[in-house]
Amino acid sequence: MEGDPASLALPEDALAEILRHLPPRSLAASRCVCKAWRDIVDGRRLLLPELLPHSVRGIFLNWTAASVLSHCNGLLLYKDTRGLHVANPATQRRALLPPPPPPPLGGYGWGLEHLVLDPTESPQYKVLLVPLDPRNEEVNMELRQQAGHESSMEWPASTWVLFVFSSCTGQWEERAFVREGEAAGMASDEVLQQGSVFDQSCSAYWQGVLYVQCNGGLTVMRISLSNSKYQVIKMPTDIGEIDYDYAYLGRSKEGLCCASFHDWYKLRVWILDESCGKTEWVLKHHIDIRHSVTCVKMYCEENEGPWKLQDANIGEDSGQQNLQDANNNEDASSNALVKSEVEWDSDSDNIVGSDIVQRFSGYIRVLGFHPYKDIIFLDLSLDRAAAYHLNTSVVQDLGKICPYGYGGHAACIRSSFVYTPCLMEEFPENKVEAHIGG
Amino acid sequence: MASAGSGDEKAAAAAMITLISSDNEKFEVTEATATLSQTIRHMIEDGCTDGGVPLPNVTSKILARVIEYCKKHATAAAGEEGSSSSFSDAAFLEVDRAFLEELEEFDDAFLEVDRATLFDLILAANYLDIKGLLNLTCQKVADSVKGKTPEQIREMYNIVNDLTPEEEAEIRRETQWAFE
Repeated sequence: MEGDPASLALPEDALAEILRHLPPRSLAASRCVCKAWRDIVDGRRLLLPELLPHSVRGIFLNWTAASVLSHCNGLLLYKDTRGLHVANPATQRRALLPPPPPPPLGGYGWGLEHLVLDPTESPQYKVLLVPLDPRNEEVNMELRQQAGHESSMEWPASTWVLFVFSSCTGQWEERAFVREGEAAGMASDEVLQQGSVFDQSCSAYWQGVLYVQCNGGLTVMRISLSNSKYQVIKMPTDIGEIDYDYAYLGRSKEGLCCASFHDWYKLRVWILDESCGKTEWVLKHHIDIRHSVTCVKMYCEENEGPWKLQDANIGEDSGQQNLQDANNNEDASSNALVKSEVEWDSDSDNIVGSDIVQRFSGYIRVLGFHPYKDIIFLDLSLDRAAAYHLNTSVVQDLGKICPYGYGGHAACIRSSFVYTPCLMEEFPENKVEAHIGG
Repeated sequence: MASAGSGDEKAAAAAMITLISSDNEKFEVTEATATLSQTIRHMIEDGCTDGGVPLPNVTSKILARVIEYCKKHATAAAGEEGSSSSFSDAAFLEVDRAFLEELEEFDDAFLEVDRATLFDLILAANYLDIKGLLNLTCQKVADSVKGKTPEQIREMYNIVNDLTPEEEAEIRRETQWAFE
């Protein structure tokens, strides 16, 4: 009986019941097993790829204070006076997380929160607390004290301890990640203490690995959740020397990408090549985009653009704005974003003509990568957002990004997240909150 | 471990159901245990359980396991109902948690069976319409498939690939994201 070759000869209903328990990625593999499996998955509509994130529907912009802390595959992590929340704006589900453990050094908190989710594998999400780096004075002092016993102290340590919240357990847990390869440097190194004016930390989650920027963007931590290892990746060599601004890290169609500007309008895009055990930045694009953006009409109030600026009003003191597709007429005060019925057409909408409107003299920053196409989203002088097609140099004007009453010298976009809605209904509720709420 | 509360013995005795396996073995169970099966619940409602319920699709070996599962889960359900009225919220949460943990341990141990038995349990759960048991057993098989390539799944369950190379290429193209 045991290991009977025909042992999976179950009736269709029972087999369907088994397949129903699989996440989308495994269902897709199951369709490839044999005809019967494919027909069950298709006939009963078990796999619904259209519910998975597959399109860009907006960009979250954090002006001055950051309340949206992280975005991953349609889920948002945000903070308000009650604490940390994870929300799916597309399905209007959300959960309040239990408070994270108290920070070891007091005052400044743990560091930065990053959300990870792969809806093709599981609806369960995780939140990682990535500790502050030596640019923080308290961290630096602590490290110096510890280093007093030894001649020098590596940062991060060979075993790096992070707090991780898992929606599976509903709890924060300490997790140790073991370093592969070299440390970022010695804690006393000056380079580790260089601060960036824009103290943001981009992150990207791809194939079970979270890539997080540390050290004002000069270092990337490659944190693998599946095997509890981490690796320090240096940014492409001369970033920080010739680039005037922060290097943006994100996930593009081809994998992990890094983009940066030098000499104001010269954009460079690298892709991280991790094939065959390598970890190497490969320069993919090096383009002067000043000419392309001269065609975008700047500072004109009447020209709305295909995307609309909405106050997303997540949390109580909303400092962030959300630039979304037009066609979106839901109530913006509902604490959540909504999907729009018509998808923004990245192939044809609002391509700017070749007439030069004015010589562009502002500055350009990266807002994010399109995760499914060779497009980079740009902020033009805090006035308009544009989509730049990396392979064809086509520019699409998206719309105004500066809300009324903003602007001036103090204004800046602290961080931005390209929003890709996830329509899967499953959402792990926080049991404790559900109980109190109910 | 003691099963249903002994105080209810009289009431329980009054509502015993006899289940008859395919190899003609008789099992006496309480109605609370039996009605975890929707199929049997409907039979009871229709009043056709006198003289026993014949289950020609289920062997005595499998029926014994199914009854073991139902007994445990019927007890847990009864315990939960009893506790909710007599404890404060916090205490209820504690009791609730203890019950759930115990039940989880039971389920884990219950699933320690060979593949043939597991499939027989799925068939029985499907036929008897026992939702919890069907979920539990199907999840176990699904977990063994999760994360595997089509080739690995075929090998594991001795499945012959009857898709043409064109069909296979088509499937891979349709859901390319899953094969990256």
